[in-house]
Amino acid sequence: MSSYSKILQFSNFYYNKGLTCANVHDMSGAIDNLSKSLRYNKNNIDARNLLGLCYYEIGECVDALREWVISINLKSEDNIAAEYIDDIQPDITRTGRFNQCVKKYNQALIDANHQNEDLAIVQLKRVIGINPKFIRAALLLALLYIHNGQYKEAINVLEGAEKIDANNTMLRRYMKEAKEELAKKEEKKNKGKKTINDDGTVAYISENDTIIKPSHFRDNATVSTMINILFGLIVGVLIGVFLIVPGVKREASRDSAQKLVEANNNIATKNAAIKDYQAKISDLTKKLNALNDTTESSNTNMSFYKNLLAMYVSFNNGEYREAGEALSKINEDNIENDYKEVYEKLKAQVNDKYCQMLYAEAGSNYNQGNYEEAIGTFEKIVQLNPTYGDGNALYFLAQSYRLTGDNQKAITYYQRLINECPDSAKFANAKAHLERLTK
Amino acid sequence: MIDFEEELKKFKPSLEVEEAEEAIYNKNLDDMTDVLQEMLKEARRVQR
Repeated sequence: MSSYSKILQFSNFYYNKGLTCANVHDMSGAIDNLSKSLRYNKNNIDARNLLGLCYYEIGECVDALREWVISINLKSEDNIAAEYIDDIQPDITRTGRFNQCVKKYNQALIDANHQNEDLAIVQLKRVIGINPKFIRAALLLALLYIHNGQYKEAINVLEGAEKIDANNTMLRRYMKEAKEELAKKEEKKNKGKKTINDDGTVAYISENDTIIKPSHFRDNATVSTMINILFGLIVGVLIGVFLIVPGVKREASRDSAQKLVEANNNIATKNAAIKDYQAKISDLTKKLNALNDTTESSNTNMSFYKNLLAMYVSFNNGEYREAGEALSKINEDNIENDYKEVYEKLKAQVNDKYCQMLYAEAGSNYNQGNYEEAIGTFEKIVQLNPTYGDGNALYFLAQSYRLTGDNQKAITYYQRLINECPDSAKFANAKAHLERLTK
Repeated sequence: MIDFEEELKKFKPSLEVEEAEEAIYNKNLDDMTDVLQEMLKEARRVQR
């Protein structure tokens, strides 16, 4: 037999042992054996699913869920673990029954560690009320009862847990301890019992002493009656002070503890709800931002098409200035690639007409000596088409600057004419002016 | 006689549903076959 077959055989052996334990409600034994089975063969799906069931049975739902999820990952088709997960789905949400139990158990553990045992007991009683199979909570409750000397209550809780996990070591130990302590307590009680003898006398046994009381008292003195009344009053007051008042106080403290637990539970539930709402708000904010981005993008596109349409309409109506101005407002980044060629043709036509109009206007201002206005118009032309009019726009812009005394800018534009339009008719003039200005 | 403080230390917080994902990812899934394979690899490495 190969090593691999032996390993599989071991895995099956432990699976069978685990199954036997689970059948007799020995969940601790079953979990131990099934874990061993999976150590030999992690792909033993039956062992993994049964392990999940055992965890679920003792109230450890997250462990159960973990095993079933892994099981589905290992074998996605024809796997009963999927049905198990579907079945417990409503209980394992954030506000579900089991998660509430776990939260309460964790809170009780914190309370117990901080010496708030009364609070912890109230909390754990609720947990057991919701999920009687939650072994871990039952054991903690039993421990707290034993510590408080409430052995009968501890035994009751442990007997309930015993039906689910019969061989739990911790459970057996607590049960033994509770039973022993309860027996000692009973024994002490019996020591103080009275017995009536045949001659009518009453005998009290206290520790090693036997106290015998005569069968009849002769009560014929008024003083003794008064003393008895007084004694009765004193006893009554003492009972009131030492028995009734602490009882009332204890009751009040238990009530307040219960209310505190209820308040804690409400807070926990509301916190979970708040978390859900916060998650929803975050989702909605993201969606809103996405919508805002889309709206912004749509506005930009709308503005682009408006300007494009305005340019086209103005151009068709012969209003070249308006067409040119609309063209300058268009953001070319928004043009889709399919329409780029058509746009470029239209732009060239508009620019040509617009520049013609501007050049005529600028020339008129220049001839009339309005150099400042001529500069503004020539600059627009140079921006749209730097070599317009075979470099004439650049030349007259430089001229206008020179005539207004701004020699620095005039030099810049003469230089640009020389660099960009070497075949221009104004080349020689520009060069002569440049030399004169740079001397 | 049970020592209450010592016993209390044995109780650990139970896993909440929010921690399920972490519990699944952190679960060690290695089995005997993985261990044997690792041992064989190591033995081959030593032989070389």
